[in-house]
Amino acid sequence: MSGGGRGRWAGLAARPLVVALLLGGLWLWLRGQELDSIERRTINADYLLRATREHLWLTVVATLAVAALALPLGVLLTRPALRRVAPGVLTVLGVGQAVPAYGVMVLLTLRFGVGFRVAAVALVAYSLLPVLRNVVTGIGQVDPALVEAGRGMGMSRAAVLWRIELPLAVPVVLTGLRTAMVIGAGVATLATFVGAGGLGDIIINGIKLGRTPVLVTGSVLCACVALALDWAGAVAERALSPRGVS
Amino acid sequence: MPDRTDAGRPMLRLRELTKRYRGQDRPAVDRLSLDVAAGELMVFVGPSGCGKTTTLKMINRLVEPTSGSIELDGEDVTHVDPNRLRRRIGYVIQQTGLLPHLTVGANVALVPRLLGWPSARVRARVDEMLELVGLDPAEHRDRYPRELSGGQQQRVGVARALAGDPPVLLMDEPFGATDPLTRERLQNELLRVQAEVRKTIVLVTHDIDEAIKLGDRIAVFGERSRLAQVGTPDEVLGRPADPYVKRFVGAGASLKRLHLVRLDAVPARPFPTARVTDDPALVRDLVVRSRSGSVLLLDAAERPVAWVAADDLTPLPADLAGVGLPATATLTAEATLHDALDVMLGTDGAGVILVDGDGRFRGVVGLDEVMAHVARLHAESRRHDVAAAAALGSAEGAA
Ligand SMILES: Nc1ncnc2c1ncn2[C@@H]1O[C@H](COP(=O)(O)OP(=O)(O)OP(=O)(O)O)[C@@H](O)[C@H]1O
Ligand SMILES: [Mg+2]
Repeated sequence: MSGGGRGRWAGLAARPLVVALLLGGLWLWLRGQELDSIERRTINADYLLRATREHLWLTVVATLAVAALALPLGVLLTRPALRRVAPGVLTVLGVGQAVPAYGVMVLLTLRFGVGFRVAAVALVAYSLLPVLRNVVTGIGQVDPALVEAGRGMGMSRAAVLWRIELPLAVPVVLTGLRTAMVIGAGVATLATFVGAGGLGDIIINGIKLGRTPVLVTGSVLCACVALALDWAGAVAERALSPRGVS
Repeated sequence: MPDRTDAGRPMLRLRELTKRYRGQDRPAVDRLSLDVAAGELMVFVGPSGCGKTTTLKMINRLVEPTSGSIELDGEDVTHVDPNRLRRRIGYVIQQTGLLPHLTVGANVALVPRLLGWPSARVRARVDEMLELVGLDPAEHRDRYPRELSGGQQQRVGVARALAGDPPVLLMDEPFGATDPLTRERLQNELLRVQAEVRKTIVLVTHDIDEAIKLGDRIAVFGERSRLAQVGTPDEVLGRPADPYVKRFVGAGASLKRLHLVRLDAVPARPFPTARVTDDPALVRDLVVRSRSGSVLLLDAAERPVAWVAADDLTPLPADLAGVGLPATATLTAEATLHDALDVMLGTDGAGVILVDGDGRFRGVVGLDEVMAHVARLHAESRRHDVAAAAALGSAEGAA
């Protein structure tokens, strides 16, 4: 599909460009500012890189964990035996979803103390349900006639799952994961409250110290992380979505 | 009618097959028994909801029978591993069921791969199957299903079902979703493929005309899979077993029977002919003496050119080129009486001109020949009814 290849990847160049522009703009703007010693302690390459890395790491680990949980759960919920209880399970999980991520973090802290793990668990709890919904929807929208055709040809249930249902669910599942990851990048700023670092540290510092350059730097970096992750998600979607299906 | 099947041995034997879906008090299929001979194309026809699909799916156990048994080629398969069983039974469904994320080639290769064939053999088989259904492998193998027309997708569906070389093919309304023209082409295609591969085919339709056209035998289903009649298309049309079948076959059964008679079954009438190069005066004499008042002009290769009547020859033309009514209504012996009638009603001239494969004149079939054949069919049915009544009478007498 060399002809469709260009269309397949078109539009993906825009986001890295926006990130570059944002970072470039931030850098130019900061150069024009007179930074005092407090500000300089935060706004230096080492510190910013570390915070960004922590932020990215937390978001990515949480997203991978969500995928690892939601996929098998979603598969289970779409098997014939459990298909009827799936809506009920999703509703029950939906109630848990109503608790704000910050609340989850605080609750977990009371029980497990502070740190990366608590932040990650809170993030996972926060985005598991939407992703699970997408997995169930993604598998559910596969045309039953295709499943029947597969079974009718003598494919086992497992073969039908791996070679028909999951490949055809990939676009919907990845869209869900990508959305969850981008939202997670925002929510991960709250990790600062449970001592898990990340860009939230910078933003909170900026607020607490009343230093606008610090606040702006943290916010812009946070936006850039979200954009970059969204871009990576879009690339993964294009690369992993089955061909022949639009 | 020549016997097209291995006489005697059924490839499929359904015995007392019953399906009761959960939560339904009446069975969808009720104690159905039926044999399908090896190499036979059996058509299930009946109204919606009568259990045709259910019966078909019990054969490959997509639906587990509640009771009864299924034998495939002499082996009881009612309880064998369904996955293994299904690789021996091709399956074609209305929506084609082609996997959209796999290429045409990969779709066709599915069952051979499941059967564990070496990849070189699989590749060769894919191309062979695509050719069989009239698709150029080089052009279509690497396309995705959505890049094909509906008719082409349906062909790929058939190619895929045949790829594992199963002895039995199940087809559930395979042409249901196609337009009438494509549908007719696919039907002809199926008959051509079947003449080549001679599989045992069970095909479901609710179109009686399709059943008549395709079936070696037709099973007419009534409510809850009651088998109202099982017989050749000619039997079902000519001697419906009961008023239900008669109603189902519908009006125009006599007309439909003409679909089943090929032109070579009726004697073509010889007809006075002349060459385009002949002397017009001699041709006029011939016209005057002919019973129908016309003569068929042939070219040097004996191909029909035109009908000429006396009017066309007064005043006498210098030569016969361009004279008379163009003789376009030609058919070969493979056409049916129905085709012939259709052509006759649509054109002038003394009838349909029968030609051979090279277009050479063989004779003329007119309305008289068609009517004579219809009369013969009626007489045959009556004789049969009388014989059946007599047999019934003597059976009752014996009891
Ligand atoms: N999975 C199922 N569960 C419950 N009932 C079913 C199921 N499949 C079919 N039925 C019922 O069984 C009966 C026979 O259905 P089936 O699909 O075999 O009919 P059919 O002859 O193929 O009809 P059509 O021409 O409309 O395809 C119908 O009354 C239908 O409602
Ligand atoms: Mg049906």
